[in-house]
Amino acid sequence: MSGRVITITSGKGGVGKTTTTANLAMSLASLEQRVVAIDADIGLRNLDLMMGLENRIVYDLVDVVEGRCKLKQAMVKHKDYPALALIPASQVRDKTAISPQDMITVANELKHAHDFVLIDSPAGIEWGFKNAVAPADEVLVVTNPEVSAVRDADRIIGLLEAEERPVPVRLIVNRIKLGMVRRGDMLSVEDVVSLLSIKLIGVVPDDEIIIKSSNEGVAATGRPKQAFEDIARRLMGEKVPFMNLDSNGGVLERFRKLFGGG
Amino acid sequence: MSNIVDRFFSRKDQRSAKTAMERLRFVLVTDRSQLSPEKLREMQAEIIEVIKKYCRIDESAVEMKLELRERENYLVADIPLAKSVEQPHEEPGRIAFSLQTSNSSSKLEEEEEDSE
Ligand SMILES: Nc1ncnc2c1ncn2[C@@H]1O[C@H](COP(=O)(O)OP(=O)(O)OP(=O)(O)O)[C@@H](O)[C@H]1O
Ligand SMILES: [Mg+2]
Repeated sequence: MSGRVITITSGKGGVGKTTTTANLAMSLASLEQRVVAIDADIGLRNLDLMMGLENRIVYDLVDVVEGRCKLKQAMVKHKDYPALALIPASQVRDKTAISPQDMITVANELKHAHDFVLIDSPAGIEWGFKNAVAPADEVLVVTNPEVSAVRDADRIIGLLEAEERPVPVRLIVNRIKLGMVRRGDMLSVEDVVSLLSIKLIGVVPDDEIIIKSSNEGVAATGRPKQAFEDIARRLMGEKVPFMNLDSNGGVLERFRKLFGGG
Repeated sequence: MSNIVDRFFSRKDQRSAKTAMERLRFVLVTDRSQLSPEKLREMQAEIIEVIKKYCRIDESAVEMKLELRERENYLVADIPLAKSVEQPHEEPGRIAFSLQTSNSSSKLEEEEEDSE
């Protein structure tokens, strides 16, 4: 059976695409899936760092496309998960070195031997984004509970819907801070979903753990890990209930509860 | 007591998330339809002119707006007809219509596969 190509994109920069791609890839691999993650952010390579593989890179995606190496040679095997590999972005070239057709060719070749091909898209709606979504069987749109991120997500979703061959699009709300949501100072997941009207596949809390794990180039731990693993399972078709972020109210939250605040 | 707590957490002002929702609802519908508020007003004026050729309407009460329904955009109009002089016993009529703007591509096969 052929694998699925899933592109992670967002419109707005810095919302957590690379963090999500890396952690989803590692979660899927730990669930015994054969995974290859492609860094499509040409010129701004980062997925290698998030996956702790920056020291093992020999060839990159542009080398593959321009025929300097075989696809296999550009695949960097993950040290902890033998069934996970990374195809790094080129750090020196720019995104025009690759075309949507190149991405389709590469993804099609990878699909056969893998369960999941994850593509980390660059921000924006231009060339790099078009490359990243060209081979997608499915798209995950990452957003933050913030006005500009939601607006940009809406724009991306509109573009994806207008494609000749629209693919399923699902939403990840990243960096939710429950304390702020409760105080009414952050859009809730429900708010974001109702504005964007697409299916939700996951919610990831804002957590320092993400910064620590990316410092070390390893998978997140704790609640973020759980959140990514839940998304991985949903991608695999399991019905996983949405995490109850409620149990972790911050100090102020607990204080407020103590006084009977809503 | 709860008053003090509420003040401590600045419960009094309009919550910023609520403001964000209102602003986003407005901006998304405008983005999606590529119809600015100004263009909308212009269009409303033109439509009223056309309708006035055929019936008398209560111009001051006309309301036309863009509305989000799921991922579809609707142009929704409420156009109350003026009371007719010739038939004083009749209730005032009302034209109401809604048009779907063409922004979202016409996908026929839709929805299905439950995800989560
Ligand atoms: N859930 C989270 N909690 C805390 N910090 C987060 C979370 N998600 C992402 N971050 C932080 O946000 C920053 C941006 O994340 P990331 O690089 O994954 O975004 P991106 O969408 O890939 O950015 P770009 O558009 O530049 O490619 C990083 O410093 C990351 O550690
Ligand atoms: Mg990135």
